[in-house]
Amino acid sequence: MGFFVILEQRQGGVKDASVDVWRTVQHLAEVSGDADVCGLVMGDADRDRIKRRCTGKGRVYTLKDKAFQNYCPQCYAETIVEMVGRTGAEHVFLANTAMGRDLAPRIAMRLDAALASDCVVDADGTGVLKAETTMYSGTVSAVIQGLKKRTVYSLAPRLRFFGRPAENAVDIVGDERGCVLECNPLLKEIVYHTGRKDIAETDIIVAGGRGVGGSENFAMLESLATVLGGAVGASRSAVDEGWRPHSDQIGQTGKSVAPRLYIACGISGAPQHLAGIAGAETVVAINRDRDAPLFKSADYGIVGDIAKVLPQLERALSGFLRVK
Amino acid sequence: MNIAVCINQVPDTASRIEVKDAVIDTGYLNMVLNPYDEYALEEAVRLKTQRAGVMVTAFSAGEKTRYDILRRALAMGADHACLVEGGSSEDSRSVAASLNKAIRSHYGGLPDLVFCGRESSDCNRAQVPLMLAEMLGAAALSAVTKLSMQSDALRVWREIEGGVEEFLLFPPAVITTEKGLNVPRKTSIKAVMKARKQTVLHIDGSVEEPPSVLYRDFSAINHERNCRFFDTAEELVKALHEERGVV
Repeated sequence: MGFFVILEQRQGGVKDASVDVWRTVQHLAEVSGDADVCGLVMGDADRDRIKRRCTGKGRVYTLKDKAFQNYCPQCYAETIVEMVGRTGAEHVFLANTAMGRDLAPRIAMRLDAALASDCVVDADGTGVLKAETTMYSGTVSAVIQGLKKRTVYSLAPRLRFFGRPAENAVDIVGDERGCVLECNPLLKEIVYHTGRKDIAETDIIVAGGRGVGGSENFAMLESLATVLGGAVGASRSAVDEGWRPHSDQIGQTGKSVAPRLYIACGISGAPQHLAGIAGAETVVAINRDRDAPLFKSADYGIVGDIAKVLPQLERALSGFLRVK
Repeated sequence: MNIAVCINQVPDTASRIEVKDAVIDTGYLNMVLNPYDEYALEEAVRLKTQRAGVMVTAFSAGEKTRYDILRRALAMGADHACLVEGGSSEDSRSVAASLNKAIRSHYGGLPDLVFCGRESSDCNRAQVPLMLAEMLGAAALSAVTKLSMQSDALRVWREIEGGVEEFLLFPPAVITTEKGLNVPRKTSIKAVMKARKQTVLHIDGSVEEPPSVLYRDFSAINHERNCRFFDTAEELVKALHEERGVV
């Protein structure tokens, strides 16, 4: 059995989301017994860092051609399909990021493979993989059964269930292949936001909803997030009110997140929102309304006005972190 | 310039989905136009005002119950609406194959642009548009949040984690629309009345495309956790540290 992992490279590094996929696949390979794992990094990335982060068994191919430095739908799809064909892998994995979502259907079609989107995959030891996804605003789960020889999986963000494999027997294999296509769409520019973390890529999120009351009140959340070293997110209501940009939106119509700690402030807890935080490890809810549905999906709660609770929480945390 | 817009109907997001014997009971659900497809229709109709000779046609694959959303497309300003019949809705690939056949036969080739919503709000798989693009042999870009028409190409922007990508896209091309691209118009009563009198075309979308995936064992998900309430922030911080190790 062969596994192939597409490792997303941005700004010279492999994305955390892809490293999580790699670890999941290392786990699946181990449970499945005699499985071969290949990774692919397109664009120039630091080999030592890849080796340090993508541990376990197998090989990682690195294609350094500068045409691959940024995401180009056509040449990425074409190259991946060729590499998968060459390794003969039956199971192809990628993270369900903006790139993963754009790429997965293209490669599934070209490989004549089944496509399991936004799923969680597990192995039962008999060599069969089981993929599960959610639908209807995260209220229903379903098993996805691939009916083709190959399957492409885009994995939903989940916390690092599987630790970093201690074994470090991964070979990094350079390859000179380049891009030979006239690209359409053609990348013109990428602008990275500086100075703020993306909610999809942080371990701690402080998120606000309608109960925050206005864009100016998000300063309290920003301040708490800074103390925690996290980022600020928002519910759909807060985004629809224009208090926060759409890129901060968490939930079905925004981003799915899987932080270690999620602090929901003044968020009532619509099913669509709960679907987006299903992967969170610890959920804290702060709301004036004791009957807010989010409390039912939280581990810890404080009933109270966020204008009062947040500064108290920030003080308590700062005090605690200072002592620590 | 020909623009095709592919639209889907989905349960109203307020609907509660019931699962009975591992099967989803959709019988009584209130079906509406997929919210992401509203951005697709709006963008197509806006291009009509920016350029002469733009013809917008809405396509939807399925049963006659889709007349409602096709009429909605007409009321928003689409010139034509086509019901794509005879296909299977087994999986995304079957649906994409039906749309591919219908679009090709309607235009006798390819339209200049195809707009689709980023995903349908029921299954959230975001598969059909890009599969359709592959079948059409057209360029494609997904989850576009900003678009501007140049003379022979489109400038399109999409959000990625931590940034924004800008691409040049040359037709024929498939574009999937993300929230933020525009604010879909409300339809006037006059437009709705007019749309009611327009004919919905029927196109054959029957294809021999065996399903590539099977969805089974549906079950309701319970997001509930056991919430412990605290009176003070100090107690919460202590629990986060001692029980969870997150601070």
